[in-house]
Amino acid sequence: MAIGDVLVDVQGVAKHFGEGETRVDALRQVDLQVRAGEVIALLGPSGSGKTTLLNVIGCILDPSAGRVVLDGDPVFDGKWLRSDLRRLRLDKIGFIFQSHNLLPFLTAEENVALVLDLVGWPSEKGRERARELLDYLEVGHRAPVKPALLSGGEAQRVAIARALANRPRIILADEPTAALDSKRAQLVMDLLRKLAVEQEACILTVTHDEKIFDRFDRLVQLRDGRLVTE
Amino acid sequence: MNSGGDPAVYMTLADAMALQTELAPADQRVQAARGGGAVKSASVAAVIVRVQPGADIELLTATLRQWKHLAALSQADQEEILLASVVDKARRQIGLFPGILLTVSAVVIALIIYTMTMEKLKQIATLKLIGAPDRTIIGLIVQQALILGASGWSIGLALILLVRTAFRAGWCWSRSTSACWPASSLSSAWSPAAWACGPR
Repeated sequence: MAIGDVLVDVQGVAKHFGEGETRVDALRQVDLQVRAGEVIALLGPSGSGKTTLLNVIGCILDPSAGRVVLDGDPVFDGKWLRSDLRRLRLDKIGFIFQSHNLLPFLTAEENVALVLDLVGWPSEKGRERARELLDYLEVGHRAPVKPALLSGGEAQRVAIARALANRPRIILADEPTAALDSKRAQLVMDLLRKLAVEQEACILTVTHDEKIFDRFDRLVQLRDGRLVTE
Repeated sequence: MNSGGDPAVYMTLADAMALQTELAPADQRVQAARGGGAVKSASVAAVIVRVQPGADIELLTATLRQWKHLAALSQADQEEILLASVVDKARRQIGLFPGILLTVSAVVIALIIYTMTMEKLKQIATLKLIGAPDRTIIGLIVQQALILGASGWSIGLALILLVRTAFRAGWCWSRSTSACWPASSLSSAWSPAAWACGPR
């Protein structure tokens, strides 16, 4: 696989919650680089800091220290360097969650098109792109259906379509296959790999699912907030 | 009974004076006969005057007011006092009901919107995460509140249109028993062209 530019560059990032006796160090001096086209698994026991690291890279949590550069753009260096983190998330980052988190009052197609609408795409063009992605993920026939009527696998694929709709270069997935059976999980990971290559994106996935480990380029192990193996 | 709800008796001036002097208690009259003291002199609180048609009421009341210890009120003045006191008080009391209803409704609607918003915290978090601006999220909540309000208003209006005739029938029944609105008693009590009142 062709590996491209560094899309995620985390340098000496630390994150702690609380102070004094109640202080919990979720991340300690974490350094991580992820390049375009790479699919990385974040592994580790519960409480090791996997989701915290994902949230820091996704600009949802303030790091306590360190430097974060996304797609060559320094976003954090002791403090946030950009005031429009919402726009940064919209343009550069796609999120996939353990549960699909689709908006229940919108159809599958509208859920995907919503992101494009927020970016400012014309409505018709947005729907066209949404339909194209859903077709690609083999759920195009479920486009006019509300999430409540979708199966787990279908809903997760719609969520993946939403995360990829505006071609973000950084895709963060928190146990995206946890709600799927092993066959579906491998299918979803194959799709993510394919899309990562096609869109020159990188994918960071928190997972415990050993059956899909062979789908990753690298396995990154976290323990007590530190990167222990890479 | 007068418009304020107090008992009132209307009679001629001569009768009023006779009532207060000639019908004084027996022991008082005995004392008076013994020369121990005079029977209480007659006093009148107010005199109602019926004037001839075409009389200048303004002139009459102005003339009476020249005596500084007298007050003179025309029918119009009394109607104004009535409106400013009794009717205005009733209007305020009636106006209080919509006020209370509005306040209670506002609190209930605010609680409903708050609960509905809290139930959607996960969806709001998702929207924020994918980069939706705050105005979009606020817009969704406001839209929901407006739909809720419009639905409530429509249902309320439909109910009013449905039951208003029944309310009108009830009002008529109550009026026929002289229990609901003093309009008829007002018209008879205030029918003379003008009234002038004052102590003599």
